[in-house]
Amino acid sequence: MKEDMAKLEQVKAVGCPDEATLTAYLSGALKEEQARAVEEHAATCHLCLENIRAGHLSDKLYGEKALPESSDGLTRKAKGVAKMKSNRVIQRNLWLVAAISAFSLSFTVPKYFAQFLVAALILGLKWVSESEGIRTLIVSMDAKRRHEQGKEEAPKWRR
Amino acid sequence: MDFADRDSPSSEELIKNCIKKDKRAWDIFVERYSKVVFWAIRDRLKRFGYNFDEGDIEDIHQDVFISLWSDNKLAQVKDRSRVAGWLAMVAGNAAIDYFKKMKRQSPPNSLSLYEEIYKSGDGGDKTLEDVLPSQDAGPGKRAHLNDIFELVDSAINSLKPKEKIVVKLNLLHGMRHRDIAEALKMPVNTVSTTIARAKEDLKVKLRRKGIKDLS
Repeated sequence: MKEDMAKLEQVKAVGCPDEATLTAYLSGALKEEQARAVEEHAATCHLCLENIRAGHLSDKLYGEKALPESSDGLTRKAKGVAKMKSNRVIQRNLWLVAAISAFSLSFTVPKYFAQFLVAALILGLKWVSESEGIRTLIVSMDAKRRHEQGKEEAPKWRR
Repeated sequence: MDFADRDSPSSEELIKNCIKKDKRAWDIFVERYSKVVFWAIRDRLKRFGYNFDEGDIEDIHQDVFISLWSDNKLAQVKDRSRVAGWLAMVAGNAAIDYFKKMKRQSPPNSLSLYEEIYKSGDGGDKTLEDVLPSQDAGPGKRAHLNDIFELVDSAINSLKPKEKIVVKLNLLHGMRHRDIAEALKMPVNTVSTTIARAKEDLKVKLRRKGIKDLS
């Protein structure tokens, strides 16, 4: 019985409207025909009904300023998503440009060939370590990797 | 500086600037909506009965904001004045995806989902509890529950899709009449009448099955 219901729900879940469509349904912004299609689906899909519930309640609680605050740490990390990306690009490019410059100089100034080559090697290692060594970067990259994997294997019931 | 209570810039303007990768706008957006994402993740995991900790919430929270920034997911928002609702759905779905991907746990089927909602006392008032047999049904309760879920389906089969949504949101998802009316843009009286009619039909069907101890 339970397995049958699970199978049934899986079948029903295929072709769920996306979040934007459900939000438009809640705000009454869909055309009559589209709204009817959403209703026909949602009437038999417990996940879409959960989304309708969550969408309405969160809008209401947000409007009433009744939502519990998230921690400062969470907010800081989320803000860092934007900064992390640009800082990372600048830092990586900086060390990389320095390493390439030292490598080029080792050929243009033969007198200091070995010194510039060593400098290029050190700067290259710095580039590698800086781009991989920051803990927050690793955490963020890990989260991003998981996110991208999730996208590749997107569950059918959400699409 | 606390941006959370600021009404300016408007959410429309904020989203437009976040899509353009304006970092100042992003900071304000995060301050304003971090709590929505946090609430939605916790709410979904709790209602679905997942065994989670703060680390899971932190990971999912970060995943959601990465998808908003890196994938420009905010561009999908059609009604930018209602971004909180959209964000809550995105966060709830991200929570399910996370548990499927990282913990190999599928979302519960409808039966166990409803059991979880009522077990946690999150079902609001005047909901499934009203139509369930008495709580001390003992070992037979599971069978009773199966019967009841089948009967709920059969009792609302004759209803139109929108009426089915009304009844299910109340009886199975624990939403109050007023909230359903607000969400679906219907008069509260219509919602209450639809639910009362479905409950009456359900009671008749339960009585035929020999279940009489309804509240």
